[in-house]
Amino acid sequence: MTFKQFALRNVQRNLSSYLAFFMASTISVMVFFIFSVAYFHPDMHIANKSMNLTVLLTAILPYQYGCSLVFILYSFGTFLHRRWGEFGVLRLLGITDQQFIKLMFFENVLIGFISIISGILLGLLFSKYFFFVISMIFQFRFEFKWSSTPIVLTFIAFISLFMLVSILSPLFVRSKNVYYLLTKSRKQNRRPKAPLLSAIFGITIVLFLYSLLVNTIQHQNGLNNLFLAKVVEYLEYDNILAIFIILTIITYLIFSQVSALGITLLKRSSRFYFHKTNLLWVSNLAHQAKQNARNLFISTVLITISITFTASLYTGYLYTAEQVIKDFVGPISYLSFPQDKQLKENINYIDTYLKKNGYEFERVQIPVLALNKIEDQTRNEPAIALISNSNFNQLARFLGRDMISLKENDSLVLIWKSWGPGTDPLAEIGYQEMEIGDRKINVIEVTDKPFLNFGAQIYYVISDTFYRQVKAKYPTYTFVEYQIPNWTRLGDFSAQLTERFNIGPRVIKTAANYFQSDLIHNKTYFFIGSFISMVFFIAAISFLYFRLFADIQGEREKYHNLTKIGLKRKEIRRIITQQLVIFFFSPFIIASVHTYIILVLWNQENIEWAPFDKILQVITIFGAIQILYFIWIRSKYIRTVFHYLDQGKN
Amino acid sequence: MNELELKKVCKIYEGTVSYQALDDIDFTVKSGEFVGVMGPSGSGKSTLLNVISTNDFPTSGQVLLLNQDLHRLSEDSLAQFRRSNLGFVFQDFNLMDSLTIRENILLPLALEGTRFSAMKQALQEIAMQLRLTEILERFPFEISGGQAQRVAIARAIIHRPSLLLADEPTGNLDSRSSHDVLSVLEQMNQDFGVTILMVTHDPIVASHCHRVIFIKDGRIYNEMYRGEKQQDFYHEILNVLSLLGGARYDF
Ligand SMILES: Nc1ncnc2c1ncn2[C@@H]1O[C@H](COP(=O)(O)OP(=O)(O)OP(=O)(O)O)[C@@H](O)[C@H]1O
Ligand SMILES: [Mg+2]
Repeated sequence: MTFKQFALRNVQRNLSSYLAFFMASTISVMVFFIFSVAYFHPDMHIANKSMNLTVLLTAILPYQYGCSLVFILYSFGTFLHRRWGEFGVLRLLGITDQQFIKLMFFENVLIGFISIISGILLGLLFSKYFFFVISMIFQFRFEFKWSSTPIVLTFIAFISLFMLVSILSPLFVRSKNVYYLLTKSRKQNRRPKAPLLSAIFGITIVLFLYSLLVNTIQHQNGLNNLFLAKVVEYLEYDNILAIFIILTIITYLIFSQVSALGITLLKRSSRFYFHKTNLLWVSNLAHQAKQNARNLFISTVLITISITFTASLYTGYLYTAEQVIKDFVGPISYLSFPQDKQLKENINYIDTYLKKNGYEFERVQIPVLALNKIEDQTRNEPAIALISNSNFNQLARFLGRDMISLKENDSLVLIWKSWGPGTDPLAEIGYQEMEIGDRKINVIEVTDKPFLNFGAQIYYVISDTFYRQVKAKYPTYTFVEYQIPNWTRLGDFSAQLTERFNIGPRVIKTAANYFQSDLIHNKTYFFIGSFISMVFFIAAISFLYFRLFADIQGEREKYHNLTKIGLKRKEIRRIITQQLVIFFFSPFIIASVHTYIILVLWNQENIEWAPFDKILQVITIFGAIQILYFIWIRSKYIRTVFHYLDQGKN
Repeated sequence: MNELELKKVCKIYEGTVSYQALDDIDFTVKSGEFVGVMGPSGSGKSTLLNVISTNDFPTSGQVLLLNQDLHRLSEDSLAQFRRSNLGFVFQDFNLMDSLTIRENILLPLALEGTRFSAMKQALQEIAMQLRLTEILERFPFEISGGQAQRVAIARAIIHRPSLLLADEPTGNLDSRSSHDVLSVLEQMNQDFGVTILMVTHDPIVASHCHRVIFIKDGRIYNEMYRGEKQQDFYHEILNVLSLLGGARYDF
């Protein structure tokens, strides 16, 4: 028998113990594959407005690969651990290191190969079906496009991962002597050395990191000022990745340190610990603390990603209108140039239409003085205009903002940020040194809140007397701004207005014609995103499933022995339930809190787009899935244990 | 009063080849008796104990414990009965890997909901008697086979069961430890009236019992009561054993 045959036989014979490792790998491959299909999908890049999905995918793809690496290494570790007895025998029989590496390599590449193939096939199945459903629902061509890039990427990424794992594998086993291998496969746990000290240290770090996050939330520009965020931004990732990293660290510490402290404290209070079945479930948690910590950590991270992803796309979809209108002052803005003779007539036309169709609306008319030609798009320096204090106050009242009272040469400067991407119009001129009609302006405040979001890039608000003095020197332009509560339905009218008015000495800007297309995009993204998240979520809770059922043999043996000394079925059921509740819901609760933190920071500039109730809706849906899954697993677990107990006595 | 009564108990293990492990066993144990069970390996001693302890069902016949037919009770009432009235020492100890020795011993009391102060008291006494005080904080894989056996005994008797079933409680012990275990068992029997049914291969240990039942091929082969002198009883036991097993008997 050649060595290769031996390896092959080995896999065949130990199929059940390989199965958990295989399934875990398959799921990692599938999730990664579906992500890359979405990422490389051509329609993903057509949208320019709501970039959420692309940005998130760019951040998540490497993150997910990292998670897969950790996860596969981890499941490989447990998998090896379970086979220590076998390795002990092999070592006893004199297997050399090289033979061992060879054995591991064949095994791993074989398992890896099969799980890559099945992961990709499963992924194809899912995504194909899914794209079909989307195009049915939205009547929007979003087909599954057969492309080899994600397949090749996934294949290469994972086959190298498996090779890496198998090369690392002797490290897991090599240092251990034969006796250790032979005996330790059954008896793992030793007491941790100084649980209290490291736990307190861990908790301190957790508290510190949480307070850092709270601090970040409370400050307007907190996220940008965070050191880690700067590093991440420097690496050209979205700075929300910094929050992901911090929360990942927190999660790890919670499960490895805080939980250890919790268990130690529970054990210390003898009255609680030695009360009925507490002894059994607490000691069991303590016994498997290390393994549990890693599992709970991984699934918490995955659950956080999936809920966050869905919730952010959901709120993105719900607040499409607000996102669109953010770039405008109102749904209809009309800028009339000095030579526009039809201002009255045109405004009348718009008013009539709105009235006739039953839209409520408000309107303001704001004259401004232009220092240079606003309509000239070829200029290099920003356009500058003047607004009188009383006109500004009228506008402020219209927009529901604070009014202002300026004296003498004082001035408030309004800037329109989107003048050029990333450029600050103020940097282009010496705005502090501004002189108008021999009077030097004294700038008391600068704001980039949108007041008149087109026309000039810089507006100086000046006192009424000042304004009257210089009025004759400059041409007067007139803004007409509308506020229409039901503006989203004005799509057709907006298109008509643009076509009709934009050819004269005037500019008209409307929001509603962007709304429909944005809405469809956001809806699609929401749909795809939540699908991907569900896959991720199910993968996450499947980790817990594998973990539980990999150990069930030992567990049911244990319960069998315990019934012999009089443990009741009722009590077994209670112990199992208690353990499963901790197992299933502690990751979920932490993930929910972290989701909320991420979304609040993600929408820090527009905090109203991360409303608690909407996020709660998403969390509730995931929670419902989790509960159903919990009920199913629990009954399956209990059934498996009880079946074994019944078998024991025939 | 009868602590235990077996009526025509048969046990057949069904499998590819079905095997009759117990064949028509009939005997009674009175309250407060200390009974030994002896017989060659594979003769059905452990099976007998499992059937008595309600951990296994007899294929036919009746087992009455404290005059109740327990095999008719529900799973949970059975468990309750086991927990409060029976104690076991298993041939393979059955200690919980995830519990320390202290916790293993206290488990039956904890399940009963005993007050912690009472637990501490009981533990202290028993740990002294069985010389376990040193190892209370260790885990089962950190102690020797003989220590594990004494732990198993401590766990079986800490809640003062009315019937103690012990499967080779001295199997792994040197003579000093055997002696410790025996004196604990005798003390339980004398001071608290605990009825004891103990499987053993050791004729010296058996000679401490009030009565010894011999089993061969699943049947009762002989039954002997102890007279005045332990030494005489020991020799009688040796005689029966040589008749019973001959070369097949190993000890
Ligand atoms: N679950 C089982 N299925 C089938 N046969 C069994 C089973 N358990 C025990 N036996 C058989 O029943 C017979 C009696 O076994 P038992 O364990 O009662 O022997 P024993 O007297 O305790 O022996 P020892 O002194 O070696 O412990 C043996 O021949 C054994 O092979
Ligand atoms: Mg036996």
